[in-house]
Amino acid sequence: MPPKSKQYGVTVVLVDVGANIAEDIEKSRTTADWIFSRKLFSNSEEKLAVAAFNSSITQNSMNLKNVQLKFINNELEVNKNYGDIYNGVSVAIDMIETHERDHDGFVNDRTIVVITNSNTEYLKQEKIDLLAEKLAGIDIIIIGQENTQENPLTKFIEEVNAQVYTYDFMLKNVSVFMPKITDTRNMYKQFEIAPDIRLPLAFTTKSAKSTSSGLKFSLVDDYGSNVVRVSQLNVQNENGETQTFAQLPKAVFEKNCEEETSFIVETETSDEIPKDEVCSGYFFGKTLIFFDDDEIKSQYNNHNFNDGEKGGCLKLIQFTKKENIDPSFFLGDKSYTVMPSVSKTTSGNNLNTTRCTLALIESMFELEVVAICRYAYSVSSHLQLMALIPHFDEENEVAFLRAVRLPFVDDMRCLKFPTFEKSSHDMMFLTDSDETKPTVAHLSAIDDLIDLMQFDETTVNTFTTGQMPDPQLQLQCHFLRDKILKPDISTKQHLENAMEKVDEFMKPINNLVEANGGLFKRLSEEFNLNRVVKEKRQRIELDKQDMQNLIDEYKNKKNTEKEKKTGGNKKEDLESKFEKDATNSAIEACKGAIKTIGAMCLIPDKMSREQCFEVIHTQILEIRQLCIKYNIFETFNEFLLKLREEEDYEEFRDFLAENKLCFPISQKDLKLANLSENEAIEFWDE
Amino acid sequence: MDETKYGEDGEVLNVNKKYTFFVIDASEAMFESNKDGECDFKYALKLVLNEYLNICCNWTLKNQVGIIITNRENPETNDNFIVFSPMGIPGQEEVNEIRELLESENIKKEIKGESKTCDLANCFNFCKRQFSGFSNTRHQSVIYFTNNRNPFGRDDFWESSYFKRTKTAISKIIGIGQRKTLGEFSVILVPEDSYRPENREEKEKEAWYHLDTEVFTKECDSQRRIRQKTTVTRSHANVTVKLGPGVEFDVGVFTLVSEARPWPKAQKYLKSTEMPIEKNVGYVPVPQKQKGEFEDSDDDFFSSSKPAKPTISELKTQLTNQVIQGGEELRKRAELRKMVELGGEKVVLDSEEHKAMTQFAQKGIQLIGFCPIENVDCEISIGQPKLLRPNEETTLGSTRIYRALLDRCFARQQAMICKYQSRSNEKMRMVALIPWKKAGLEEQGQEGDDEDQKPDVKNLRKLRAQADASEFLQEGFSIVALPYREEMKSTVSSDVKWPEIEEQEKTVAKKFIKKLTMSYNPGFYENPRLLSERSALCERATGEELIERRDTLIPYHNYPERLQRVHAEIEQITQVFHLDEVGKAESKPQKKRKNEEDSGNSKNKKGKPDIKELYESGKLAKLTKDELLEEIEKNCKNADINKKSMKQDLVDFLTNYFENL
Repeated sequence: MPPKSKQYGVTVVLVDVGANIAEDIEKSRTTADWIFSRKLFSNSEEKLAVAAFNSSITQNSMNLKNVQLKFINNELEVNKNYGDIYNGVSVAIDMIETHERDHDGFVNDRTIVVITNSNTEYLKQEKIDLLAEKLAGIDIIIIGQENTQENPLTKFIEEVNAQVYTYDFMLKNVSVFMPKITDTRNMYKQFEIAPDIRLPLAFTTKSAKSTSSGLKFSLVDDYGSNVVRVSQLNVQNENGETQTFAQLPKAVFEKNCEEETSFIVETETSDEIPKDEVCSGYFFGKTLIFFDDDEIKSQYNNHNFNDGEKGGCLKLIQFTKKENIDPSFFLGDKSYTVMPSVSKTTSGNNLNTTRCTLALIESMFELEVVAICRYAYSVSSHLQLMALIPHFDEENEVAFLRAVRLPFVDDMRCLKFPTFEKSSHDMMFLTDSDETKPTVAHLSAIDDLIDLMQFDETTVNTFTTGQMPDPQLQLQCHFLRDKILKPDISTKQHLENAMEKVDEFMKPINNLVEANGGLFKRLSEEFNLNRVVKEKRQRIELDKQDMQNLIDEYKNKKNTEKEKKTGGNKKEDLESKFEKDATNSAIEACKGAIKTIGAMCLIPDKMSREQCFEVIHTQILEIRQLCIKYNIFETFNEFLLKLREEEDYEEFRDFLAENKLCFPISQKDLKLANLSENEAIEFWDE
Repeated sequence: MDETKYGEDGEVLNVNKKYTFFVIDASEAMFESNKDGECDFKYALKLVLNEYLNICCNWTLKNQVGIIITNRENPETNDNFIVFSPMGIPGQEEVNEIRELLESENIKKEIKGESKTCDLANCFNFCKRQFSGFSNTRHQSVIYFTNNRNPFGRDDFWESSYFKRTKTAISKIIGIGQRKTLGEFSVILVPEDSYRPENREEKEKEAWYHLDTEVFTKECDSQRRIRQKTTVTRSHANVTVKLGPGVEFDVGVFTLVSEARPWPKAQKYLKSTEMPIEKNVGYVPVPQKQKGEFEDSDDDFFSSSKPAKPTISELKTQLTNQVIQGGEELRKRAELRKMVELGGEKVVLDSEEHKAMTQFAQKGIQLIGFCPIENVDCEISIGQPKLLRPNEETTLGSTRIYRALLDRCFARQQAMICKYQSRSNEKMRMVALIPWKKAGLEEQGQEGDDEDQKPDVKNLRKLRAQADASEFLQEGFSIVALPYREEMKSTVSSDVKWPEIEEQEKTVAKKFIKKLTMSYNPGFYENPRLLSERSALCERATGEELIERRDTLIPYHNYPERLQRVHAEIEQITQVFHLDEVGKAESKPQKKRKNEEDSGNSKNKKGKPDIKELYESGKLAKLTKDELLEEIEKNCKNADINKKSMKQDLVDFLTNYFENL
């Protein structure tokens, strides 16, 4: 016999495509599609076949492939003949038998799903008997029976003991993608409540955060072949030469080698930097401090205070009243259900610790206290703070613990907000009166909102007990399914198709909002919420090409300027102008600059905008230089003031202010100037 | 956030800087010895040193600090204050400078200049000008340490022009109305136990109260207040709450708790040159052997022919060459494609496609409905707790609607169930917004909305808990992230028949629990790992163990007085549950079996070899090192044994011990 883990179930999906199905073909197709899609996307080990039946039979091999999905979507056509369920089921049985003959012992579960409405021909009794005999050991499910009381299949259904569902029921229950379910292993800990008393506990993961959706993606290059993550190390040696080393992670060898991984003791380090030539650097403020890795280990035990007990530890530190543990303290990455652990070789002794554990949990529950424990996951992991919170399962009448991590003081963010009640601080520095206090009318509007948008109990449970599927997974699966079925359309189209499906799935949760339109009108009038709109000027729609030209022009300028480090022609031009008539040149230069800046501020793309700003910024600095040289300060300072005050130049103002790139001309630069040095420094803060 | 993958940090490093000036009063009164023989100046300086150490050990290097000492003659500026340590990121040098001053015999003498009264307004204006020199997006703070309750000379200080000027300077530091700058001014009155008025009237007689309303706060100690001021309280996102069509307002999202990270994986350096080793991470295709292409992957596990894989050494040489050559060969993650195998087909997506199908781009918080708070199981939450605060800057009226929601939801104990996405590229979550108000229970009683909710014992306990943890609890809606079905794991199948527990058994357990029930708030336990890291770093930088390295999570029974407290109860538990029959071996079932086979008679009833018997039969060496250590601790009181000793040493130690008995 093959190992249990390699066994799988086989299912044949029979779709009736007789003339009788004409009205229901869409439903049949969708049902069959969902049966296959769900299996495909959960990476099921099961093998499925699909067959269309009426007088003749179209079938494909026992497998789980996209081809089958395509077959369902593209090739199921309604036939002129009437469906012959006898023929269909016989073929399905045959397919299962053939498959089993070829794969002896691997099949542990057999199912035939028949999708048909009831409008088929009556089956003769001898045919029913024949099928019933052959169907021993095979589950049969019939989908599409609206009226099971009296139809041609009733007899057959009774005889073969089939499960029967309507289309609607099926679609309601299977039209959600499910990720592959992976079993979590229990974790066992000895709960040390006193020096010699250790109570064995079993931890089962209750909830665990996942950032991915459940589909497994791997990275590949352009040609679709797998890639591995490697590091290139560069360092200067004593002679000032840069040496390059390769660092290959062990995992690379574990997967991609001919040899058994267990034989890989260590990846030799011939091409890597010898370990003892390397040390770690940490910053103490701005000071770099070096540590030897060995030193951290020997002197500080890698900063690990775990006692090194095998299997980690769980030791009682204290109990505390439940009220002291606010939910906003939970670190929130994982939670466990904790029960007394009962080993299979239960002896009378073991029951004593179980009794003790249960007594402790029940007492904790009745006293409403929580245990706070020193916890380490394994022998080498760092210590954590774990809270054991007692609960009582009404259904099974048993007390159990929930384990969640508590924060260290280091994990608590230091936040300090003023209270909402009129704060005296505001009184001192701001205008008086508690403007933000809601009136009675406000409060009653909110009361109505709460009343109208109350969930019924089943909906609440969907959200609060974690029964809602992740919409992201649904989106991804629909997207990929669309891509497989319609390889020729654009990504955008795929996304739209997928979104449509997901919206359908999300519809029930948006219901309450949609149902209460009138209330929102009242709320919006009552609260008079006003978005502070940054008064954006109407951006002139620049033609893309024009925009590119503008950007390119400035980029070129920048480059040429770099090449001619002396400053380029423009600067010389400006200088000669100043020489002739300083006052007017200054006015003109500033005017010119402001015009350019105004245009630049209209560039929508931040990156290109700031590139342009940098160019104009150097020009402004040049003007500033010249102004100082020719004892002009008013023109320039007014120019900056204009930039600061007028909305049209907001982006540039921010650019200058953020980086403190240019200050007005102060007495430090020019004795005559009207601004003191301090005033100039504070210019951008006003 | 997990979501906060500190991805923000890069940005934070550049713009979100925090600048703090510690201004210490160095007038004569600050140097008068108090009852402990220390002076207030020294105490203030110690507080500052602690904060310097904290900032230095924070590897994000976001904080810049400086120290100014007032009431000292400064011939350069005539302003009678001196800059002891200029504004900047502190380091070894700065810290040691403070330490030297602290350790000097006569602190007063060590400080430059003669004692001379300083004009605080000028000093604060100086701070303000210093701040102005930095980028506009900043958090600036001045903390003034003094024991002078009224430096403004007269009882009607508010009339004095000196007070008015100082107030103007401070309001400039606070910078109300500035778009990007957040400012703060605080006064720390030393010593800690100085008189602190409690009612408003008394407070208003104090000069500093008019400049810093928090000056007499009892919510937290000075060190924590300083920490609050040097920590950036910038929101992690600004999102729109959509109650329904046309009813929208903005809130800031603040993280309440997030796991403080240990030292980041250290940058490596070459010992000989102390040059940094630059790491360039990339991807290379897995080398395949040329012969034997992939089978047409008809996943038939009978077929024995697998794709040919290279040997270790082959793989190694190939990869190393690829890496060393670098350049084009080393691909960046963003350049790669994503592949998923579905139904025997490889579906390859470029990064844009992958991004498109991952994102909902529905940034914001969309209300779906309300439900009673008790229905929300906060324990299974799978995200960091966060707090919402109204953002009046982007929506006028947001504070009012926020307060109205908070008020009603809290009074009616309702949670808001919402869709939540703080950034458009973040995973969409279902969340419950849980309202919380300070001292809300009292208020409820007074208002008499809900008559049946009069404060009872339980509520009183709740209030006490709130008072204990007041510095950690925030008024407003906190976000509890609800798990998706994919994130819920299978529940325990309880086919086990659990024994019924008798009342008497529970009584014993309860006695034990009650004696060990103590108060708790999140300030109780420090992360020993981080403490050790900080301690090591400070020790290296200053040559002194300024931060004590210790285990902060000691079980109660390591404190003799606590163990003593429950001594009788432990014995009772052992007795009632017959735990002495179980013994330790039971808890290590594997070992028990082994012992049974090995040493037949040499174990007693407890199923655990008796140490003396082992000694007599000369089989001490059969114990593991840990077991030996345990036995030594148990049997030999005050044994001074190094835990790192060799096993043989431990055996010898025990042998000696029993011989001398």
